[in-house]
Amino acid sequence: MIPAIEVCGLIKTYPGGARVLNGLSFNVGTGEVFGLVGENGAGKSTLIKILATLLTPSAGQVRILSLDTREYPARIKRRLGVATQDSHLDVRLSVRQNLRFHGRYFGLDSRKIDHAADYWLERLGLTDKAVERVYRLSVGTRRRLMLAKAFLTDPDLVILDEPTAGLDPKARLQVWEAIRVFRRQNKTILLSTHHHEEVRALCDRLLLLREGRGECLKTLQEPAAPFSEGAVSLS
Amino acid sequence: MAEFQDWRTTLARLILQPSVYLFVFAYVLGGIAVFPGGGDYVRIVAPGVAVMAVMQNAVQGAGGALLNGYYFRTMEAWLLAPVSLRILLLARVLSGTLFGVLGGIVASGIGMAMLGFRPHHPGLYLLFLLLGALFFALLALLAFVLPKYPDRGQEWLAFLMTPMGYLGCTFYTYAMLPPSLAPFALFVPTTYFSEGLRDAANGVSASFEPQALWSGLAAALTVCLATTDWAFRRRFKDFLW
Repeated sequence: MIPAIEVCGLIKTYPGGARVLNGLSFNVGTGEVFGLVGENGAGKSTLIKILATLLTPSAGQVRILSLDTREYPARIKRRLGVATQDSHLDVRLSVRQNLRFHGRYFGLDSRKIDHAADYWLERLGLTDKAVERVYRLSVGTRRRLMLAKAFLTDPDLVILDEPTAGLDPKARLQVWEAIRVFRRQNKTILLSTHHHEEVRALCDRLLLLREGRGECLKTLQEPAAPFSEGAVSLS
Repeated sequence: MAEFQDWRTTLARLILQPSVYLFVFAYVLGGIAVFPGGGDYVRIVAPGVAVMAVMQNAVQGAGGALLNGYYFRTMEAWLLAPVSLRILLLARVLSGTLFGVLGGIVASGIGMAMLGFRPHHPGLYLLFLLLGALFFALLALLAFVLPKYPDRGQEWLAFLMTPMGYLGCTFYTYAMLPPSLAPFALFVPTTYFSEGLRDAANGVSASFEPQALWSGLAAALTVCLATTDWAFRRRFKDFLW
């Protein structure tokens, strides 16, 4: 299987000396839904930002779709969709305008953007919200819009940081279904989540992240290493 | 481009500020004060008001957008766009420059309507508006990306804008300054934009030889461009905000 993500000996130290990732190594194959779990502060968000080329590794190598993140950030971003935990939507614009601006950043023409926007808005139950300004939307609706943005440009790899946090059960199922639809096109998804039922329902493999180090589990049946209090349990 | 969405606020800002400046400096002060060297004060103050408008709007267009991006997190959306950091910088600079030029044109138009002011060399006048807008857009970005967090940029700009605006020969000419103060004005980049715009408006080089004027402009732009480019790429290569 061709790896979509290759991480080797990744270290990230923030200014001030805090080492958040400490020699992390793992691979994600093309077409996989790969879970990323760990306690708060385990380094998930840092890892996601490095994979999204927003942060530079302090040491080690990260290759996305066979491209080094240090050397080819723009080429990687062209094939990447990201839904971060914090909404980076423009609250002054409508739902559709946000998608149009996003599509424009990627050089798509209006017809293509509208077509993709209609598709993902329907998939995520947002069609009736298309003309609403984002500042009027609930947190859950914004989160679904972030997902629509991530899928809009038909990327090869999508990184989703807690995409169902704060969603009601119906919306959560819509998101799961959207992820499955996307995956059927042999696309890769990295899914960071705290919900173990989400890992069970969607992920092929997962990485348990703890104190900047990771443990890769091949299947959900494989017993997880004992996790400290408050962490996700996979048993 | 999302900044243009709120066009009513933008339009009000573009019109209100130069109108107030022109009213105060040309009608009120221009009518009661006697200026050394005499002459038509309108031809001194109208280009100065245009420089002030260029400065305010370029700073707002470039720096304001960056600050909004920081507070509303839309900055992350730009940084996830598949372009290099230099292209992103170019986009922010162009946006600020466009606002600045627009501000200068509107201010000059108001000057024409209120005071009958007409630039002698319209092409050169426009070029100085453009160069001024470019400089202040770069400066605004620098003020926001250089500190650890961009909210500190507002303090930096507050500290910079007053001397830039009022000590840069905007409402008086360089020649009007007493000899003891004139050397200080040479270190304020606004001086070169104000004097250049005034020369283009009036068709004469009042204070500087053209070579000195262009050297001052080139130095200010080169230093500002190089520093902003370095600071912008350093800040966003490792996005810690």
